[in-house]
Amino acid sequence: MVCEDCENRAVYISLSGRSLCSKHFKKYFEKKVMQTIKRYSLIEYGERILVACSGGKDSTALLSFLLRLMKNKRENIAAIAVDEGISGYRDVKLNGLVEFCEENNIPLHTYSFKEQYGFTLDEAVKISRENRLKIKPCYICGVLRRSLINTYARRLGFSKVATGHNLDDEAQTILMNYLRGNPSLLARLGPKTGIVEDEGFVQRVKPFYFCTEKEDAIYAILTGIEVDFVECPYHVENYRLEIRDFLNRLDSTIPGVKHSLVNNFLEILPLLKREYSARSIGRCRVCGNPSAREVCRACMVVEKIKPFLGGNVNREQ
Amino acid sequence: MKVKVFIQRLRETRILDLEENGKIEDLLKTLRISVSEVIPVKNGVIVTEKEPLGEGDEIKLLSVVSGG
Repeated sequence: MVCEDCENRAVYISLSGRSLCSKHFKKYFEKKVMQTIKRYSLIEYGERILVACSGGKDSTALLSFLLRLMKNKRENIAAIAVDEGISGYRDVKLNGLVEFCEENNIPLHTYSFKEQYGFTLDEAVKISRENRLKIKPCYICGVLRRSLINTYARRLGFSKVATGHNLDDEAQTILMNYLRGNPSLLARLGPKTGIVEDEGFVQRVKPFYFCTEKEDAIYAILTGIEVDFVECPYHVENYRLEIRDFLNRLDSTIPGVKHSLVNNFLEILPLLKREYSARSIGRCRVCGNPSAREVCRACMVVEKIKPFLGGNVNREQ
Repeated sequence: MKVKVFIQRLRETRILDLEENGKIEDLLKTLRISVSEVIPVKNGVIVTEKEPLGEGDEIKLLSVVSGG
């Protein structure tokens, strides 16, 4: 099969049936990302952008894309990574990221759970299991990671945090929150996250919002980013995994189902944001970060784990 | 016809006997893998699911899903 724009071999067929070679796929992908950035004002001229990197293909491809986009303002871009302390996984992923940032001369700010909270994710999961705390690994990881990224993005003076979330991620999150009955969490989604504007929050933006996971992966390979396949050991305990496999199976029989889910959700998102924006936001009494609760979710996790640790734990802010 | 398939997600190589004139999409159906989950590579080159298969082809199915 050949590309519809030239005679080269096609590497991808889009949902609308366009067959594209490497060169025209890259054009198609970058155009889609640029349209997303413009349509939702994700990045404004002169803004300082911190790219949240995991060492995986999505965030590294995003970093690579933004470097080209902001080639005249490279000083406005940096990467942040969180080492949760997942033995044999995150350390491997972060090695590749360190190399990429060194090669491209990008400042990389790395923070670890151990140094910030006093425990690794592996230790927290062990404590949770042994003491029947019933806190799932992905919950601990997600809540603490988001808190750290927001804290340091604000301290380092960045106006936006860009994440590599793609259409598949968003479709999964939408469905997960629908099925769990979490409309207030749904209201936080979209290409630009958040409901309430607060100086304590650094807005998160998702330039790859309308790109599928497959498109991200092809783009990463074609731009020379090494795509490995190391799975997080806690991934198998994840509700998201079930939803992901369900949506992929459904997409095989009803092509475009993930696109429809996300596009339909975007129609009702303004209503959800309006409904939930009236709720006031305060400050966590432990760490001072913005929170709708008296104690934020991150501090609640730390408070649950802390009593089972030897020695003192600092919640640095 | 016989083709050799490496499935990255499973870290597994299989030799499959497929019908003549089959395509990558037929191979994926046999393996019950969704088109949206993998990037097919035929003899070292990225191809689409419509790519025809031939005797002795070496296929890699690269996983597109993030590791979590």
